Amino acid sequence: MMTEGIVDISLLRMIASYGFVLVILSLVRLKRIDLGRDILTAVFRMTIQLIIMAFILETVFELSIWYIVILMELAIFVLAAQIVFKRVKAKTENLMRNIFVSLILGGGSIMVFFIVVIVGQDPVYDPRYVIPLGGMIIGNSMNACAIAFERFHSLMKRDHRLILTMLSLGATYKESTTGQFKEALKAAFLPILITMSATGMVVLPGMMTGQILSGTAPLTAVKYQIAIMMGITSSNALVAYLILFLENKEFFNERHQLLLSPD
Amino acid sequence: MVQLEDVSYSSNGKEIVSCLNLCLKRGMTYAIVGPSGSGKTTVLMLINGLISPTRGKVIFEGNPIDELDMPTYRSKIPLMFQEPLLIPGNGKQNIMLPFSLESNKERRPDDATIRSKLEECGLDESYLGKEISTFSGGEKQRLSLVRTLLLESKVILLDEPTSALDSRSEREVVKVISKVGQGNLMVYVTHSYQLIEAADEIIVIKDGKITIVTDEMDRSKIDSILELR
Repeated sequence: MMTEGIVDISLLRMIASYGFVLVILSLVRLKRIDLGRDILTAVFRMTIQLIIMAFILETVFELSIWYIVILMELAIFVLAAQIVFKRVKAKTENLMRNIFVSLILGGGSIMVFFIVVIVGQDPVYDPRYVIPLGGMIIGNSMNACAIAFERFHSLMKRDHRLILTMLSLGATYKESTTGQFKEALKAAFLPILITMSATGMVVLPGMMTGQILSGTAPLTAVKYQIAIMMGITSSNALVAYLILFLENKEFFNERHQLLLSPD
Repeated sequence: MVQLEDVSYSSNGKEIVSCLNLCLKRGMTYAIVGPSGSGKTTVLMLINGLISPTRGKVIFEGNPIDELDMPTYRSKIPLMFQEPLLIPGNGKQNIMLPFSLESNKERRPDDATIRSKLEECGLDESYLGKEISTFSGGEKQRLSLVRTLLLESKVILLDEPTSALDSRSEREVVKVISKVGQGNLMVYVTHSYQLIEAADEIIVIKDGKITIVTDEMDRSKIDSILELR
């Protein structure tokens, strides 16, 4: 079956793809690795989540109402912040709020710029563009956010005495953590740099593959891919910077006293 | 110059120091002595403002320090920790570290001052270009002392400044500390006889409380305080 250039997979064929899972489950059982239950749960969750998402998207695409699109994006931001919050081991008092603010300011601003200026679709809130492109930007920003915070927290613990020394010599809290801030920002930036270097050589990114499969000319798909990579990179950097900026304060009080105890 | 008024400090429900009352005057050198874990370093951290008392007040030149701008205050009253904390890089980068801070920018020393302070502390100019990883424990401690002294503050807090030095180097450093102490307020925590003897006043702390304040103490008394005997 063809749908606008793409081969639609029949339900039976799609179910056949679960055969891959059976292979993994057999392997896990053979090697007596305690992962079978986790794999089944993950597969089940993914299936249900995607089916629900398909129905939601169908409805949202059909309605194409601006406030529904915005509400949906907001819900995605809240969900993304919750996922990052659960993923990071260390917790600070205002971490959830700071993750949400970083994602919405960093990821949201890049997303708006991308959709309004780069894609420029009319209407700008067209859910066919906003939802998938926004999802890609937020999804990648989540990783950057989690990596930046986790690295920063572990560096603060490791360099506890050095930070105290800097403070004792007259450093402000920001000055005392300049090195740790830079190192955490670099760590958050590294995965996207590696991805960029490999894009087009080792891997064809998901969006580009999807577009090519649905019949888009490779050159058009490449243009989208370049633009989205720029968007993702900028959003990663901005989100990582914002979470570090906001969280840096959380480790100190107003008297520039370090509140974190060493390991 | 610096007063501790009924100062107590607790951490994780445990009282580290309690009801400290001290009046530290300019031109005096104070040695804080006591057994390990008695709260000596905590006193220096309280004076430097790295921690705040849970009860009582630390007063600097008539003002409670909690009301002052902390980075500016701390730059006037630097604290050198026992474990010399240096960053990867060479000697000069480490010496100049405090002067990259906004609060110390205007106090940047010239090359001649750096050289003379290095020599006073038993180091020469070649240490400026040497990588920190090649420094011995004693050299690191002396470099850390140079860094603190270059701030030319009126109040200097030192935590075990000679703990990593041999007795000959210790004698040299004690001379430097005594010289710098003249006209300034110097407070150090120490286990060194030489430094204790060089102090104008000896403050003995045990279990977080001041037990003795005296201007003289013989070595057998020091040993018993430090629980060496």
